[in-house]
Amino acid sequence: MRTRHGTDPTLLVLSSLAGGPKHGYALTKDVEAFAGVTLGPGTLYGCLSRLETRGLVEALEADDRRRPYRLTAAGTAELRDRLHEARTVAQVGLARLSGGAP
Amino acid sequence: MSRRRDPAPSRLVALARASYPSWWKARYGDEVGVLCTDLLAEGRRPSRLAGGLFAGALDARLRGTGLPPVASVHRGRARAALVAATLPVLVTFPLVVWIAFSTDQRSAWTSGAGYWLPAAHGVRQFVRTGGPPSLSAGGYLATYSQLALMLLLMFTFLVLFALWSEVRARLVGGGLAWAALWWAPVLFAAAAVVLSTTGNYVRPQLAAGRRGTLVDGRIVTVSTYAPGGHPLLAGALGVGAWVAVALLLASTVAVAVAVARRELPPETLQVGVGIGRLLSVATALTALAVTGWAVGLALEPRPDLHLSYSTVTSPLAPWSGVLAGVLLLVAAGTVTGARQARRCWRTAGWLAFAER
Repeated sequence: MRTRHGTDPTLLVLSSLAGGPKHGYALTKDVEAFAGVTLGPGTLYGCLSRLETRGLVEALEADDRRRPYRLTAAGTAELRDRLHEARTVAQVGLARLSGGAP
Repeated sequence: MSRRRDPAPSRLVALARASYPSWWKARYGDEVGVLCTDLLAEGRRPSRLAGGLFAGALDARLRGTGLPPVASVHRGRARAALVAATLPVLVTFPLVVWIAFSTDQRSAWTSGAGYWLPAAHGVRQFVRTGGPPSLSAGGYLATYSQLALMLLLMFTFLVLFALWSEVRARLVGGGLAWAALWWAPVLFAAAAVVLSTTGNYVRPQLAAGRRGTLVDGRIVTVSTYAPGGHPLLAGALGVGAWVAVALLLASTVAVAVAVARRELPPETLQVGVGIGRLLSVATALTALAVTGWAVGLALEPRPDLHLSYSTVTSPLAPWSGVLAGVLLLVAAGTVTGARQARRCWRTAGWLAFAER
């Protein structure tokens, strides 16, 4: 599996949680599956702690020391905004590559 | 996929997990432990996991990522950051003293080239034919940097000693240990002054009236010592004074460590945060001065002991670049610590208000 470097882990974690609550290991496997990016525990929990501090994700009741996280309403809005921005950039870039609109 | 059973790599991961701050471990420690176990079981390389965890721990310590919104936790972090801003300064203080006091201007010019001119009543006067010994641009840079270092040392010492006294005074609790903690810096400072002054008093003194002799067209001044004095005792007192200074710094470290472990009143913590800011500014300027000193010495290409100019030298010149790098790193650490202390102190104030 190809690992892409430079992808924002915040966006990856938010995108993964958009599919439903997940604990650390499930998040790692999901991100690996849909983005081909391997998140280490240091990166993953650094990202989760930042998102939790900003109120974008929240922790649920722990199940056998595995605590799932889910998106909050603010997290959903943040993810939507960032994906729209990314789509705009992608559309412009792809259009220019194909010699279309400026 | 190979699965490694060697216990050493797991210890590496455990060590990396242990390097996180306590508040972080209390919140995320268990979850990260489970995740690491799962990832190791599926064959992830322990060294890679540990590397990521060490980086995460550094980030958590430097930026306080994930710090829970509790006033006491933020106050604790402010105190820890204050210590982090102070300890490097204490450690590098002797190094900066060494740099400042080992740098010297040297010249064979002494009293200049010239000749004796017979004057009235049989008195001869020495007439100088050259100007004063000049310095190169590098020499000026090193000399002014040395002067700046001296001033910054005094300022840093004042901040460390005088302002820390305010924090120290609030630490006093019961028992001999706390009393010793309070009195130690004061006693060592007094000892340094007394030993240094006494040493100057008992050492052999220079004889009055230095004599000049004309040698190869330039005057050479010969200094002689008057009989008396106790050179051995003076030497011992001088060493004792430096030991007292070292113990003064060590006792200040003890105060700093005690600060990190003990709750302080808000106004005292505010003083501590102010000390951190002053130290960070002084350390940043000291690092710049040491960099100027290092560049100045590197630009001083002229050979030593020449008649028509002075050179600036230091026995630390071969390591000047390394020393400047170390000081810049220390300054970066101190500035980061001071900024964190201020940020956490302000957040703790807001949280305490909200908790009430």
